[in-house]
Amino acid sequence: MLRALSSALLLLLATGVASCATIMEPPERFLVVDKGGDFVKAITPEESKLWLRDFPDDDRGGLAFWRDALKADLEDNRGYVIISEAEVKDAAGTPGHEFVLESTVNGRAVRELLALFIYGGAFADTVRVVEYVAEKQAFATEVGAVRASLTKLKP
Amino acid sequence: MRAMPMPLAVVLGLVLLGLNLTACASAGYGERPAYSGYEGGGAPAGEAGGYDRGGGSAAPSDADGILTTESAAEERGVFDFIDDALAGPAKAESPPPPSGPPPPAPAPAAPKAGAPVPPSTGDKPPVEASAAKRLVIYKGSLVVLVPVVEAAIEKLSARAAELSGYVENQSGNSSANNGTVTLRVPAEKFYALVNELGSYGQVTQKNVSASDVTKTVFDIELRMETAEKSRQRLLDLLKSATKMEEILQIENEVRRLTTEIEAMKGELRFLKDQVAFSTLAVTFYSNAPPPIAGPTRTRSRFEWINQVGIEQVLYNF
Repeated sequence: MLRALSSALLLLLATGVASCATIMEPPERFLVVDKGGDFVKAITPEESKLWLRDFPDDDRGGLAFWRDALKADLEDNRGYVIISEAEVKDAAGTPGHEFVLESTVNGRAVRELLALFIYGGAFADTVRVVEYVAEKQAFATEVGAVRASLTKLKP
Repeated sequence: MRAMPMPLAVVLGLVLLGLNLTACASAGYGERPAYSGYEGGGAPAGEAGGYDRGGGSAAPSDADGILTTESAAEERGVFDFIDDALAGPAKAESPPPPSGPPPPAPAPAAPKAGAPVPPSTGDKPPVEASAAKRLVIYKGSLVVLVPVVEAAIEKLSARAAELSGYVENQSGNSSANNGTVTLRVPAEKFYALVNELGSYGQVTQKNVSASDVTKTVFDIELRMETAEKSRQRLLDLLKSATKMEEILQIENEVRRLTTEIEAMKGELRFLKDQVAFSTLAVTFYSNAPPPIAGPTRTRSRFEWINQVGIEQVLYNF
């Protein structure tokens, strides 16, 4: 009985670990420095950062609402400049939205690619945010690879 | 009065008549061109002599004084000759013969002592100008104490646009809580706007000036007209000129006159613009402490949104 229970527990853990590992595969030059069931942190040698996070959404706002809420906050409250916007899809075809933003931090131009996906759940939705932040010059070198990895995101 | 002996009166009369005729002939009076409304009647020193093929009359120069009307010039000439004749034979004989380059002109426009002054000369504006509308440049500068500087500037700018005017310049210093706006408004609405500024706040300083440029404008117009006529005459002369030296000289003079005319046109345009649109500089200031800039960022109602963004990634990664 105890043996069966521990086997099941191990299986569960293995499945959990496996699922954590497969949320996102960062591009080649990124080193994964931390990860969990709902987040991944990866960094390049130039310290460009890639951060995936999941946030619970009990209110179930949906993609259109969160896209607009996020855009309003980034533009109006933070003063970011929106360079571009695009619709994106993950590996399962779940629709998402991508922003490319620019701001000045300590006198230096910094860009960010921010992708937003909403996944439905039994009790709450999950808002998944993938952010890639780098200095303007370095940003361009990895942005293509980051976009490619977005298409391989798994729910 | 004792009667003059008859033969003496006849002789004096004949002498006067003779002197008058001599003066007319030597001054080329009969050949005076229509534009020679220049006092003094002589050619400007050196300049016109080369191309003057007429009998002593020459293209005018700006240094010469201007009579107000053509008829006045003729009248002045007649008075001159009578005056010369009365002054004595030595003076009457002084005008050079019509042929050859004219002598350097004496200081023009200065009326001779004792000479009768023609009624149309002098500083009085010409009849046409005085009868016409005065040309006045209005300028004003005001300092107004207001509760909110930015709001006052916006309101005044909008008002200027309403009056078909425009904002020429605007400057301000939010930390010092003041701002200056320079407006150009149609002249007829200038005083109305100046008076309106009292409703904006407390006018603490007010300077308004009016500068009459009627005479200046008229003078420039007259000078320009004369220069244009001179240029036309030179161009006519150029057609018949054969010597290279003459041609070059005429061309140089035409070039000089053209530059002069263009400069006068520019000056006229500027003056007329200044007349049409008055300039009003208004400085607003406030005694209220300058507004303190609030935080540029307010938190989102949604907590997860507060956790994303460039700074969050850079500092909380």
